[in-house]
Amino acid sequence: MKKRKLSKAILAAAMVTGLSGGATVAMAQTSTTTLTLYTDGDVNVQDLWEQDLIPLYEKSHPNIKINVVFDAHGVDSTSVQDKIIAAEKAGKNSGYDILDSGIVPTLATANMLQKLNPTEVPNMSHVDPALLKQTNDEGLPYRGSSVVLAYNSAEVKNPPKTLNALLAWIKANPGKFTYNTPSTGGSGDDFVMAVVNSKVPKQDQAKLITSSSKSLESTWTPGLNLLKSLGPDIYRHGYYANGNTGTLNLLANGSIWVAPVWSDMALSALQDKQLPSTIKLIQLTPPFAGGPADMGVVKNSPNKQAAYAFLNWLLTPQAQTIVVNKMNGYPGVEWKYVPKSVQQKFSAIAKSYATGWSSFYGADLDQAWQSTVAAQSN
Amino acid sequence: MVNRRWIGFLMAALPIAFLLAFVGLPTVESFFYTFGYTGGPNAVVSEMAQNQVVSHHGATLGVYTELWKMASFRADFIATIWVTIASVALLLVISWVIALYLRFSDGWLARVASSLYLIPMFIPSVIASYALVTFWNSGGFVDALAKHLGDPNFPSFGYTLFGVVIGNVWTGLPFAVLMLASGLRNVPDSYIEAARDVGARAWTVSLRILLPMNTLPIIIVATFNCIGVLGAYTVPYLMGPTAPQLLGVAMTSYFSAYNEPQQAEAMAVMVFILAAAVGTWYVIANLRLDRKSGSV
Repeated sequence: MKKRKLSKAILAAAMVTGLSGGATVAMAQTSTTTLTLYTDGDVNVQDLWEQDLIPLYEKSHPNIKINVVFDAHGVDSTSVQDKIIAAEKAGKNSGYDILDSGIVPTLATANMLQKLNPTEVPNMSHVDPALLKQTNDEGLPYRGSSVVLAYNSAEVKNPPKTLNALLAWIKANPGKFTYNTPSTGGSGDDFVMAVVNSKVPKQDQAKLITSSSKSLESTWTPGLNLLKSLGPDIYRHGYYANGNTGTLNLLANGSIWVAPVWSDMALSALQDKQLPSTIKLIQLTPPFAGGPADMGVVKNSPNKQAAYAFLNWLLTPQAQTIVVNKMNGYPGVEWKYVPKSVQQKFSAIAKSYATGWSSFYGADLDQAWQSTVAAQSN
Repeated sequence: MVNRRWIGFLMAALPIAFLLAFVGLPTVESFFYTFGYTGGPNAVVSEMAQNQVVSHHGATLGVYTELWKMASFRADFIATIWVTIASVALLLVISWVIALYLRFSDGWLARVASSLYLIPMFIPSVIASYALVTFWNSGGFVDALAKHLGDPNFPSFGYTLFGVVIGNVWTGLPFAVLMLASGLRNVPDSYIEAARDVGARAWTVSLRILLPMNTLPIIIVATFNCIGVLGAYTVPYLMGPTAPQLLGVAMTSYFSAYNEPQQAEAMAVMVFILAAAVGTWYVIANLRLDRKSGSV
């Protein structure tokens, strides 16, 4: 017992010297680097890190310790974001090394995170380059999810397979479709984006994915008007659910028959019997957009090398298999880089998803939708 | 003696200093932010915010005028006022009736009722709102009952402004009945008996004796609920329609989803002004009552 305490003290001393950058060669063998990982989201994300990925990584990398700061549903994400910006402006260490949060794309578009490159993170080359471009190479997708169409097979025999067919179905079956408000969840957001995008001139569609220019927002008007015209045929003449779960609840209790949902959430809900087995999933052609979950490295982190090594490990087939199985989601790397068995298990959705717009437009699309589409209902 | 006074001062100073540092300063800072001051302590929040109105000299009302120009914001504002007035009025009527019943009935039913009305206090508003929405929504219990009784067009209140009113009444009920019932209990039986002896009916007793003697509890219930409903979030978020949104919900959307903290804080200032007006009315009414009773 005593011995153990002593070795811990030595370890702690080594850590301190290691952190202050004064590690000697002799010390380096025992020094431990502690990485602080900020993550938000639901408990499934917490479990993924704390029960699966981190213990595995720490086992094979005994000199690395990863400290998880979990923030349920990202309630504190805005203050963490502010803290990182403030630390960045003052040139100080924010206390965070790695981020797994919705704040990553926001910080990345403002160039507040470390630019990543394939020399330091070799597995980066297995990620879809379009996704990296969206975050100026500052955000690294390590998992993803796509929006798919869920339908109640007991009521709907021939589900719509294209966006136009879906719009026609909504008009033909008033009150049996809804989506969540774009500001409260990605599944509604991606539906809105898909409809608006279908009315944007071809040459501007690509620009919405990579650029950030306010002037492009004027191309949204026809699509928003189309959504507005759906209003009377939406559930309760224009009630839009709050949050992705709100949509799933309405599907589960039979209030609506068709809705856009996140593939991972719906698959997990089906597994846990929170959705009846009559609910089926289908992807439209062309597919709805997907959303990668991005990791980012904080610019002033003193442990950048360790952070790069960890991110690189996350993109290995071993780690990606765990991520895909645990989250019922998409890998961060392209499908061809995950083991064949995993590809087969998820064959129904193992396709690529459309790349969504740059996160620059997210806030404005939410607001434009609220003031044009939602405002006229009721 | 002097020592004691100092101790008293210190004891009061600590919480006041705490409030000033953690509530006062951020409030003042946000207040200036809504008038276009983006420097100093507002530098971090204004770094990422969208559509800001920045003033380089003096203050600007730009954020406020822009908000008022938006039809959706005006609708949100009017809806908030409407829901607040309707909730408080309905709450007063219902809790007054319950309080009267508790004051004058003595059976087992009254005893059960006197503990039943406290139930909403122990049910978290998230759960209560969800239950109410399920109950009142189309396909819910009330809707199904109405259909069975032959009224297929019965309005369902889930996801409507009236649904929010129902939710607010539910959450406000325990406090309101508690206040009004204890006020009524303070009216001596002899007053009521004297009135009855000269032939006053229940209606007259209630209107001419009980009501005037309970002005203060009524004002307390009205003002406290008014202020609570103005900034409410959970009930309107879960029970309300997608649009118009009540300001509590709208502020959250503007703050995080639309990335416009300046606009959200300007709304908070407006809600604060409304709440302060209600609060002032409460203080004035209180002073007047005190003067009437001769204690000031």
